[in-house]
Amino acid sequence: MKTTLFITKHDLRHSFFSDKIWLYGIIAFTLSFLIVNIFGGAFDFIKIMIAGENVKLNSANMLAIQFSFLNLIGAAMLAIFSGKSALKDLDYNTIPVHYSLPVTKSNYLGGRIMALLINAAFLFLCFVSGLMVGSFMPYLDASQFGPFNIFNYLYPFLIIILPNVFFVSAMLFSLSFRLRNYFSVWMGLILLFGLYYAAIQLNKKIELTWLAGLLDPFGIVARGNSKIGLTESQLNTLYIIDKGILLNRMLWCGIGCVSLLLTYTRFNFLQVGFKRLRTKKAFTTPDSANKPHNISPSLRSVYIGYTFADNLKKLFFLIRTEIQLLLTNRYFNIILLIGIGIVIASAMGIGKIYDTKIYPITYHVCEVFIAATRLFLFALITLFSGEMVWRDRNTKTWQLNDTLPVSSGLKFSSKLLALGFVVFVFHLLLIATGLLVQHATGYERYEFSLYLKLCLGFGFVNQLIALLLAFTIQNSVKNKFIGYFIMIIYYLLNVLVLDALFEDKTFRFNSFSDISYSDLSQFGYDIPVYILFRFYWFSFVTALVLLSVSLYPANADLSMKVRLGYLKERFKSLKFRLLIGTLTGIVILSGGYIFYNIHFLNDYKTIQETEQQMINYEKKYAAYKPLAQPVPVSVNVYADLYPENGSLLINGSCWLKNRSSQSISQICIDPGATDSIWLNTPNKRLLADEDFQVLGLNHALAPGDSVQLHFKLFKTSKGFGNNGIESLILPNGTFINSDLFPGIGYNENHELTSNKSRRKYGLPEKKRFAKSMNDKEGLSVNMLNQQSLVHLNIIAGTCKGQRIMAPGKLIRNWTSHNRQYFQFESKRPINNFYAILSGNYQVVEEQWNSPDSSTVSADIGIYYHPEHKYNLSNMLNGMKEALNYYHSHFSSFQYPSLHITEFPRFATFAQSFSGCIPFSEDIGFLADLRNVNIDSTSVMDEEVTIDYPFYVTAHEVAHQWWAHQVCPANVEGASFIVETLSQYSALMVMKQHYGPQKMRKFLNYESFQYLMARSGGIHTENTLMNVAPDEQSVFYRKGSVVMYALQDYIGEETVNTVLRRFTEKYAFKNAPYPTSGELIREFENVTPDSLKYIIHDWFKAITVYKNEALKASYRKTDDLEYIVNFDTDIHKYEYDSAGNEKEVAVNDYVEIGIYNAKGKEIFLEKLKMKKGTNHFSLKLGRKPEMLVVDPYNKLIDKNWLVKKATVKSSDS
Amino acid sequence: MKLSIKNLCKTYANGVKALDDISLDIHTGMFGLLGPNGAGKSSLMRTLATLQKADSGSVFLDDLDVLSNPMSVKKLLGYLPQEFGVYPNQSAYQLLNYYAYLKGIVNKKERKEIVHALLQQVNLFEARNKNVDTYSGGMRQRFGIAQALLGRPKLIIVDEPTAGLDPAERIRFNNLLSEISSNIIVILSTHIVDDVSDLCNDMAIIQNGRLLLTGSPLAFMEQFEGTVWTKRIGTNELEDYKKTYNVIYSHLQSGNPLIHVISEKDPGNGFKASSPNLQDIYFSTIK
Repeated sequence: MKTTLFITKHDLRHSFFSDKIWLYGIIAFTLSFLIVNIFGGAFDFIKIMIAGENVKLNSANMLAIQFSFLNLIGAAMLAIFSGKSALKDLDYNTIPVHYSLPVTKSNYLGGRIMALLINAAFLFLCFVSGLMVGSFMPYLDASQFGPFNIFNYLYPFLIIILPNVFFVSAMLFSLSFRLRNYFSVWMGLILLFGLYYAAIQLNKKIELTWLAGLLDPFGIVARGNSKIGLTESQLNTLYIIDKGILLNRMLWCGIGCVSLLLTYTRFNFLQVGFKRLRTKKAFTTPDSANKPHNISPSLRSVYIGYTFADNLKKLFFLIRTEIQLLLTNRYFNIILLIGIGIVIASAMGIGKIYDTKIYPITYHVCEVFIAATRLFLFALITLFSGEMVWRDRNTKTWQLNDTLPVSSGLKFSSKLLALGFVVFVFHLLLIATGLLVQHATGYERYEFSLYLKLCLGFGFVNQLIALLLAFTIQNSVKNKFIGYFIMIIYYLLNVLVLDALFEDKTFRFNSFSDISYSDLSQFGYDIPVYILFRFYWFSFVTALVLLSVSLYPANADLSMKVRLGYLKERFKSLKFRLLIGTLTGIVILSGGYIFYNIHFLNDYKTIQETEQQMINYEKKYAAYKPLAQPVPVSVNVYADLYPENGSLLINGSCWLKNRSSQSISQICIDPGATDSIWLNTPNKRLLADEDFQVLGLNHALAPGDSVQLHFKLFKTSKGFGNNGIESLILPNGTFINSDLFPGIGYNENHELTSNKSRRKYGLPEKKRFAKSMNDKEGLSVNMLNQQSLVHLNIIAGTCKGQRIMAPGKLIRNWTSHNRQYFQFESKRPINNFYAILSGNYQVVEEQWNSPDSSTVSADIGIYYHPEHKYNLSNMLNGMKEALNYYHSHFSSFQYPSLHITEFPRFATFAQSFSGCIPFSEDIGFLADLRNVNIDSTSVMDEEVTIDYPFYVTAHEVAHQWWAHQVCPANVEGASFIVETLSQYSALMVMKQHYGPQKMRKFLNYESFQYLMARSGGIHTENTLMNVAPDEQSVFYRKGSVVMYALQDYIGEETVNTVLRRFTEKYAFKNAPYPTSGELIREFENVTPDSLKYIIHDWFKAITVYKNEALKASYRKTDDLEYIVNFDTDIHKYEYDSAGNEKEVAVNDYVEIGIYNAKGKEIFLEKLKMKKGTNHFSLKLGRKPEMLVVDPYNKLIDKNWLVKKATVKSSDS
Repeated sequence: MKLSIKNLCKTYANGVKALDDISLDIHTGMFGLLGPNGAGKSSLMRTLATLQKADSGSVFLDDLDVLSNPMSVKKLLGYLPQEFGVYPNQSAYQLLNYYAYLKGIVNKKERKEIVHALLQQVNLFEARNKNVDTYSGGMRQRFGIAQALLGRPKLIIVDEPTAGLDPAERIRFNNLLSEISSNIIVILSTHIVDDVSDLCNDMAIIQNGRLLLTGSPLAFMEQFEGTVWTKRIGTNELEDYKKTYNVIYSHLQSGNPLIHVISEKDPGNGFKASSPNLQDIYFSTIK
């Protein structure tokens, strides 16, 4: 014991003074201090939100999140310490001495590991104290911190840090101790990071979340999962520890213990197996000292070349040698194998986005590959740049190599080019694999040039920047480990904060490194911008590389002073000065040009400036809010789109009618994107600000009178902005909407919403959705902030080869000046909310006739990109079946035509305008639904494919009713009517088409998304009835589940009858507009008393179940029947809007499903259950195998996995 | 050809003065550099081999400024350091080929001939396809010699070249060195005094970074003629003798100390006259 302590003490002293652990401690403290400061709002220019506004930064859970991040950096530091500790004797050549001392192995290893753990603990205490001290800084936003509580720090320390410190150091120590080299430490670290990454990916599959939680070595994923479904207030107060976290921590601590145990048992004080002293059979030749030899060959005359051509030859020779050395390096081969493994794994995952498959379209394949191999390539580059730059040092060959008449520059370039070549070949391999995957899946649209652009032009080029950076760093440090460390820090910063830190792309390193691609618009107009930015950053990095070449670790003295001396000497050369000068000039010029484009040609605003603008808007113009304003009643738009250069010219006018009871003398106009607006009557411009104008009418507008507003808009791209060419028009697939056009009156949507920011600027707290259900003002306008429907007339022109799509019926198209013109007119008034699309589409069209005896019919069709023809029939069917269902159950369809139009994937949504549905290329056109009709034998089958093109289509078609027929008042709960009812409608169409069996997976997914969103929500939660417009997870996800359950509990026809009456009452009407409250009252009226609780629980309150199947058994009777006994555990929780949880009594119906061995349903019934354990006994005709509580996920349940129990035989 | 070193100084970061105002002229032929461990031999060698910079002073190879034209020096240089590593998984042939290429022998045929001949010369031809990192110490040393001879060097610097060689190899290597040194400069650093007296026509002794003595071994021996006396004494008497006489060194002969004493006159007391060897000169210098 004494010896162990002595070794510990000795090691600690060594690590403190020689390895400078205190320096890492300072880094750790600073980093964590900075993190609290960043999150705490110390820097105005960085805004990072990691949880809801009301979650306190020093609550146990938030600290755990901050630690999780620091943990990643800490792991890199641990790698350095573990390696140094394990290989100390090897480093200092003390093995022969140390191992011959009379020390037992428990003393030796024990002392060493103890010292390592103490060091690691010290390091992490620095992290902890950084967070703690940081939180007390007086300038931070105090509302973000709760009262100080030491247990909040103890929680993450105990569940995240301590286990991680133990197992990471134990594992890396054991690994490097066993393999006797530093390389294994870094390989081990990469493995851990890789597992963490894999776990994050895996966690996206609902049914594999448990595995993902287990797999993540740092426990971050497990902890993340454990808080799903928790509310803000719970996140502030709870110390969450669940089964997932415990299992994970046990598993990884176990692995730590096992690795230590293995190290202990397999270690002996023999020197066998040591690389430096390895006993590979030494080769000796017979002594032939006396053999005569010929004259010294060194004196023979040969050509010795130092010309440029000779040097070039030498360079190629060196590159060849470097590659050969890489290929004979064991670790290089291992890491390459890992890379190939990643490629194969991601190749198999291609086409699966979450739970749905898509075709292996080229850009998707490339994106998957590039994303999957990014971290791997970064690791490869980091490791081997260090390995190559420092190889001559570490193999001690420098004494020979550095006296060769070859410049450091040549040697260095060969290393850089060799690794660059490897990375290049790897990308070619990606292309080949991609083509192979496409071939194997029967996809035959091979786009070779797109592969080259994406994999080489983007993927490889960006890795090249990382490569140059890595070599620069390795040249400039004292040993490769410092280089590795800097690279890891760079990686984390790059991924996590650089974007927030340097919003302005002129200054963000390697900015503009990607352009999203769409089959429709391809790269847009941005390729030249991308090339300019690459030129800029490559010049920058090249200058760095050239400067660093002089620091290349050649020669005996590696002190920075000497190496900088070489650099100074280098500057004496005029050629070098010219070269660096030119590069600096290029960087400054191109950077200046970029800056000029972003700041002078375009309007660049920081987040702060945007915020400031919103504040000004509210402070300056809110006074105009009460003024009565005329409303648009008819709109004429004449638009000229120029896809060939991105320009847009719009001339428009609209009639504004005074529908109020008083005369109007001032018209307030939000000019939108327009350049000029004017009225057709004499007026004075009382206010002409950029974002608000007030026109004073010479003659007040009497009630019932109208005035015509004209507007003009011309947009053409001037240079490029911070996000590239900021053009509204795309080369193909333009989609613009009426937000560009002027709006009337003060617009509350321009106000700052974040209450945290509002507090800071002294604005009153704002309820997210200010208007309650009895707010008169809110009830007088509809959800689109309109008081009236409008007549719309659009004439739009585009280039030849493209066509225009817009709401209304196409009444005319013609060619003029080699351009195509289209006129759309809506015969019946529509919502003042419209879009214009332009593209080179192909079309499928059909006529839909109403299924009943009425004569209603419509032209329906899809305008799509010619290559995207896979799911047209599903979508067209979706349209027809949806129209049939809604027409028969709600009301008749109102328009003469209904078209889906595809638009580029930069936004992934579909939106329903009157008779016109823009539909993103990414949410259905490319879904691979070849398996969708395969009958799944069991309801529990996880392989069910959701036909989401069909579903999204049905949802959007439903908006023709829920928004375009019935438009709710602009008060809370409006989204319930517009979105939840559309979800419901689409689900009914799906159920009719695919059968209720296939709905389970969809509902499970919706439930899970709702629970996920709850814990990450920015605001407090509302009930479905009072849902706010930004609570997507409530009105979509929860809404789906609740409405599906409602029709299941009270009957589909009952629900539809209510909806039909509701439509009759409100379709196409002006104020008063309907509210969710009224609709839910209607539902309540038709709900039997025994079920009334569901109206309260599901619509008017926030409730979540926590149900479980406890146990189940069966007994076979003499009549060949089966008596099944089972227990369920039922709990129901109700939440207030702050998220405080309260368990409530249960007297509810919960569905029980029983399945036979083949997975076939043999029993399905809702049984009444009470809180806690419920016992049931029932008789079945067939042999049960499995019992599931709420098999169709009709109830929102914290336990989102299948709640099942195997039915065991009780006879034995 | 002449290598002239003037006022060369080098102090390491830890304060050790490795080279303290060394001035030295080295002519064609073999030049021996003697000194105890840590005397500054390797520092001097490394400075001459352009592996490290001096703080001050100059080194000229004829008209070539060695310190500011490292690349030109490297073109003329053959260097065998005291300790060196090799790349793993590379055969002797591959590695020597690598060095030959980088020394500028870009013609494939010529390079092959040279590499083969050199491998034969250092007796590694049969083992040429084995990886150098599996070689025994002596073989590795021979490999080092081979690479130092590549590319017609005008200046060869060898640091402890015969360490690790067996006696026969050592003889062979010494023969080789003297053979090639006929019209180039060969600097041999060693602490085997006999090697210097066997091979070198010029030598220097340095200690603590300072040059103590330089000249021809033969001249020194003539100069010391008649001043070296030896005597076998008892094991316990050494301290007494050291007080009385100028004992330059002692070594055991058949178990008893044999002391060497410098004295202009016969010290009597049983001392015998001895013809001076380089050992005597070495020890009397560094004392």
